[in-house]
Amino acid sequence: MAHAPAALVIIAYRDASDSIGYTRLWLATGSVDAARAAVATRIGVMGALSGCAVTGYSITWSTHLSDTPAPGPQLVSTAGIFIWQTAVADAYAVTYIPGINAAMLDATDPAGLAINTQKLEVINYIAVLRDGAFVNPFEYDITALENAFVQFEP
Amino acid sequence: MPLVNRPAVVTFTLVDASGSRSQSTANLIGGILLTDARTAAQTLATAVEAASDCTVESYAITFPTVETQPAAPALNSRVEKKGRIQFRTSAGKVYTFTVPGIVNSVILASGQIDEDQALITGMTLALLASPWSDSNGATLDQVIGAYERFDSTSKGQLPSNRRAD
Repeated sequence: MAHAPAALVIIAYRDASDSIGYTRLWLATGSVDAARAAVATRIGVMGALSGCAVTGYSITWSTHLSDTPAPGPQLVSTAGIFIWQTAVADAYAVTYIPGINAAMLDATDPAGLAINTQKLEVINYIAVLRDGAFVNPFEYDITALENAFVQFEP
Repeated sequence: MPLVNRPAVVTFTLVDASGSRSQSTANLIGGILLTDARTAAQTLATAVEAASDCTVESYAITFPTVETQPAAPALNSRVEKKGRIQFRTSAGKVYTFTVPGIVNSVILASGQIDEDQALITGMTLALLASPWSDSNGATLDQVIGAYERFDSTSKGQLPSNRRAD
């Protein structure tokens, strides 16, 4: 794998017509705290340079993977959808696996729609999502798989 | 101006045999270090690739921060009106820093940005210092130009209330 040498900072602005514009900057640092501190000390000045209102920013570190296997026959439009329970009742998380391998699908009636949660690859995927590092967008811990099935997108 | 950090998001880009690409995202627990986020992302990438016919070619870990009480934008401000400041990098390349809706007070009659104006000097001095860089990690060494530029307005940027009453 190859980590990009710099993190991308995108600062978002909104103008009087509600249009959104962006400033893109690069930071050569591997620390989230250092990156946030660098942006925080500059965002006031950037806001003063613009008549628009700053609405937020993001900092992104990218990694390119090499020596990856050649793709199989399934296309990205056939996606496995996983719906997760979280630590908060009635709050869920959703994840996708584009191009899910046909061997991951349940052969029981109706065949080819549900994902077979007894497949080793699916068990491993579930275990990774539940290991504590991953949450839903509201930061609720992912606790258990609720349902998993295939969706076809054109 | 309360800025609130949101949970980090890892976005995987997968490619299939036809060359089409799709993304898969997952949210990471708050306060996670970059090294831990990369480890978690790599582990999940391996698990996704094992269950998919597609190849995971890259992933991006984004730490978003939102302004929960943004100020009102100035009257007649427009993101299409750009201030552009160009820098020469230590690799000899050019990096351009853009400010949407640049204020008139820093613009000279010719359209050049006044590099001696206090707001501009404060910004350029900051960007000439660590850790700011270009996309390849090269330092920004010298300001080589600063000017006003207008981008064309896209359909989505037209005023939402432009229809006649």
